Amino acid sequence: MNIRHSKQNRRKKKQRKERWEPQTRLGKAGCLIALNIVWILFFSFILTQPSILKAELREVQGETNYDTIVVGDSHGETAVDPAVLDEELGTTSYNCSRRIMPVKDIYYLMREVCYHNQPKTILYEIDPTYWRIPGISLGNDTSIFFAGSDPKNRLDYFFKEMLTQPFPNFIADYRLAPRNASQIPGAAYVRLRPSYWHHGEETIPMIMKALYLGANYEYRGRGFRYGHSYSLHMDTLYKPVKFKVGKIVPENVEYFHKMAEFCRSKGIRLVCFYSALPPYRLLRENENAANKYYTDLCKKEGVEFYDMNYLKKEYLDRTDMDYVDLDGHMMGSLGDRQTRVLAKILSSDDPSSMFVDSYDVVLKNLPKDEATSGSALLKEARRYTKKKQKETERALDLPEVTETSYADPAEADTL
Amino acid sequence: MNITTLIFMIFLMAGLLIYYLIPSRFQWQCLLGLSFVFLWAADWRNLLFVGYVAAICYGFAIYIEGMLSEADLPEDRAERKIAKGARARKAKRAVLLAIFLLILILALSKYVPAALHLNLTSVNETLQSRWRFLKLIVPFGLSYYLLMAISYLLDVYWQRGKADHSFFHLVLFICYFPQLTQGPIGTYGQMKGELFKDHGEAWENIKVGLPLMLWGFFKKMVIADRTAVFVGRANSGSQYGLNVLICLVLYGIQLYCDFSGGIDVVRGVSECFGVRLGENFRQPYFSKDLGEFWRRWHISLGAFMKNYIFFPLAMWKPLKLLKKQLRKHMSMKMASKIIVAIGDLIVFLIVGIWHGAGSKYAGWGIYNGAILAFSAVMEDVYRSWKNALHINEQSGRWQTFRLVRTLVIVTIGWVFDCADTASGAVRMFFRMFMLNRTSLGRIFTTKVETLFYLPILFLACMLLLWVDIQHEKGISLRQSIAARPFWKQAAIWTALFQAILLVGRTVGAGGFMYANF
Repeated sequence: MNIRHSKQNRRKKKQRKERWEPQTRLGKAGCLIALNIVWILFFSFILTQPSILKAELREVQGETNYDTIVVGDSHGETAVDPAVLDEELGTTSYNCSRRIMPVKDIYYLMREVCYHNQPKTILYEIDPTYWRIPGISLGNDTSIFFAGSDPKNRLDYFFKEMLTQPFPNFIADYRLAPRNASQIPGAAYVRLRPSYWHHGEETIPMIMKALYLGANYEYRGRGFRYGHSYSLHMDTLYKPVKFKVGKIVPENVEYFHKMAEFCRSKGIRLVCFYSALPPYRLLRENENAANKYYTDLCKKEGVEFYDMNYLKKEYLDRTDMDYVDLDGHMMGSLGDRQTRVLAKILSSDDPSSMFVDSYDVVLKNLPKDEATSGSALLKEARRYTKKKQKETERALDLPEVTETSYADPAEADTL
Repeated sequence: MNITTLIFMIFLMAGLLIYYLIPSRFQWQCLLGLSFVFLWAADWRNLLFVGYVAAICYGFAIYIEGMLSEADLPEDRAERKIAKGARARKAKRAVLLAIFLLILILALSKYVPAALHLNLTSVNETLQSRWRFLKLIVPFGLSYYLLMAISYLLDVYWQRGKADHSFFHLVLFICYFPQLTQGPIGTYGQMKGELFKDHGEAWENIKVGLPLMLWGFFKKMVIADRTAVFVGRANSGSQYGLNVLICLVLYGIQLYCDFSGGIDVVRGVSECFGVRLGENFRQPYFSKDLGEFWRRWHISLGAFMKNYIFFPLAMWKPLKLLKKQLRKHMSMKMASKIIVAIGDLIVFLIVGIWHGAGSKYAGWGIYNGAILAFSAVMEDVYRSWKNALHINEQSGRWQTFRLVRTLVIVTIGWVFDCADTASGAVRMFFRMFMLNRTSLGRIFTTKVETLFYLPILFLACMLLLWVDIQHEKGISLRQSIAARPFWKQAAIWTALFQAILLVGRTVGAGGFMYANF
C-alpha cells in the first residue's frame, strides 16, 4: 500500500512538472529564447551604464542649435568649458566628449550631432591613447549604436561596424568588469528614477554621482566636468607610455579621414587639438613624436591642428597640481584657462605666433620644483582619503533633479 | 568571415533556413553555394585557388585511376606486365606532379613572400587601380584544404579510394566552409559519407550543433581571449624568471581553449547542417607522453602526417637502404628504432613548417621531433632503468609523474610560439631561470583587475577541467544534459550563453589563432 502510494505520488509529481514543460519544439525554442531575453534585460538593467551620452545627444539635438561642438575622450570632458568658450567667442557650444570613446564612435557621434543640428565648428580633442586600440565599445556608454537616434547613422554603423564585431557586442551593451560591477547599485538606482527616462541633461549629475564619477569633478552643464580635487589614477602613479607610430591602429586613421571628409562635405570647420598635458608626462614621454605625427596627419587631411603643449609659457603656464590626476584630466581652473586660450586661437588670423617651434623649448619652460612634481600630486591625492571623498560628495549633494534644473547653463555655475 | 562575428551568425541562420527548406537531394549543392559565399566574403580570388586545387585533383585523380586500372591491358602475360609497369610509372609521375603543383601554390602564397620579407599589403598598395584585380592574397584556408587535396590524390594512387567523377563533389570536399578556418583535415572517404547523405531533421541536428557551438564560444571568449590579455603583457618585451613561466603556462591555456573552442564551434556549425566532422581534439593535457599528446592535439593533422608522410617515409628506398646499413652494426630492433626516430624528426619538421615560414616554427618542429626521436631510440634503455628501479608502470604515482613530465615538456615547447624566432625562443628559455628578475607587476598590472579576472578565469578553467575529465571517462555530457528535464537543460545552456555575454568580451579580441595557419 505504501509503495503504491509513493509510486502514485512520484507519478503525480512528474505529471505536474511535465505540465510546465513546453510540449512542442517551437515552444521549447521559444522558452529558451525568452529565458535568455529576460536575463539580457535584467543584466542590461543593472550592468549597462546609464547613458550620459544619450542625454548629451538629446540636448544637442534639441531646440537650441549649437554652433560649436566639442568631441573627444575624457580629457576633452575637462579641457573645454563651453560656457567660457561662448563668453569669449559669442558662440553656443556643447561638449560631447565621452571617456573611453573609440575613434570610430567619435566619427559616428559627429554624424549623430548633425542630425537635427547644424554646427559650424567641431573641436576634436585628440587623445593618442585611443588611437592605439581597436575601436570596440564594451558597455562604457560610448556606443553610438545603442545611444544614437538617427536611424540612418545607426543603420550605417550596423552594416559597417556591428556586422564584423563579435556577435555578443550586438546582443548586449554590458559586460562584467570591476568598474561595472561596482556601479550596479548606482545603475539600478538611476534607472528606477522616472527622470532618467527623459534623458535630459539634468540627469547627468545624478548619473555621475551614482556611478562614482563625481568624486573629483562637478558637472557644470553642457558636457563639461569641472575638476576640483586630486585623484589617484588607477590606484598608483600614472605609468608614462611612449608614443609609437607603429602602434597606431590603421582603422583609427581611416576614421579620422572620414571625419575630415564628413566635415568638409557639411561645410563644418574641423579643428583638432591636443590638450595640454601635465609636466610629469611631458618630462617622461615623447610628446614631440605625437606632435609630429598629428601635425603631418592633419596637414594631409587639410584640417587645423593645435598642440596646446607647444603654447608659449605666458599663455598656459601650469604645474602638475593644476590637474586632477597625472593622466591629464584638468582641474576646472586650468580647463577654463585652456578654453580661453583655445578661443583666442580660434579667433586669431595667425595663431602660430602663440606657439613655440621646438620640443626643447617646451621642456625648458616646464616647472621642475619638487612641490609641483608628480610625487607631490600623489601625496595630495593620498591625503584625499575615502572619508574625505564621502564628505565632499555629501557637500556636493545635489537637490532632487527636476526638468528645469539645467534649463539655463548659467544656473549650473551656482551649484 | 570570422566565425565569431555577427555577420557569420546571420550567414549561418540564413544558410540553415535555405538548407532545410529545399529538397534534401539539393542540400549538398546548398552547402557548395554557402561555401562559395563564405570564400567570396573573404576575397573573391579565394575561389580561383579553390578552382585550381579542385581542377588538379579532379584531372589527375581520374588520370591516375585510369593508369592503375586493369582495363585495356594486353592479353599476353609478359606484355601485360610491361604495360602495367609503364602505367604504374606514369601514375607515380602524375601523382608527384600533382602534389608538386599543389605545394607550389602554397609555397608561392605563403613561404616565398616570407622568404623575400614581402609585405603583401604594401605590395598591393603600389598597384594602380586598374591592376587591383591582381592583388596578392594569402588564400583563405589553403593550408587545410591543400592537405585534404593531397590525401585525396594519394588515396586514389594507393587505391584506397576511387576517384570521384563529379567535379563539384570534389569542390565541396575541398572548400566545405566550416573546416576552412581550422580544419579538421578530413579524408575524402570520411567526408563523402557525410556530405552527400540524407542529413535528417533540422531540429535534431541543431539540437546537437548549437550546444557544441556554445561550448566552443565559451572556451574561446571566456577563457582564451581573457587569458590572451595576460599573455600579451607577459610576452611584451624581455621578461624574466616567473614572468616567462607564467607566460608559457597561460599561453598553453590560451592556445588550448582557442583551438579546441574553435574546433567545437566548427563541428557545431557542421552538425547544424547534419554533417558530422571527425573529432580533432581529445583532452591532450591528459597525455602520458609527448607522442600521445600530439596524437590527441589536432588529431586530423596527426593522422595525415602518419598516413601520408610517416608511413610512406618508412617505405622510402633511401631509408630502407639506411636501415640495411645500420643492421650491419646493430640489432634489427635498434635499426628500426633509428628509422622511426628519423621519421619522427622529418614529420615534425614538416608540421612545424606547415604552421608557418619562420625559424621558430622549424625550431618547434625540431624540438618536438628530437624529443620523440630520442625517446624512440632510448625506449629499451628506459625500460631497463624502470626495471632496475622496480617502478610499477601501472601505479598512480608513475602515471602522475608521466602526466606532469609531459606537461612540462609541452609547456617549455611553447617558447617557440611565444618568441619571434628560434634563437629568441632559446633566449626566452634561459631567461626563465633568472628568478631574481621576476616582475609580476608587468603581467598583473592592477590589483582590482587581477582580483576580479583571475578568479573568473580560475572558475572557468575548473569547469573546463571537469568537462574534460568527463569526456576522458567517455561520458558524453551533451547526452546526459539532453536526458534531463527541459528546464534544467534550459538553465544550463542559458548560463553558458549569459557567461559569454558577461565575461566573454575583451577589447582587442580577434579571430582564432589556428585560422592564421
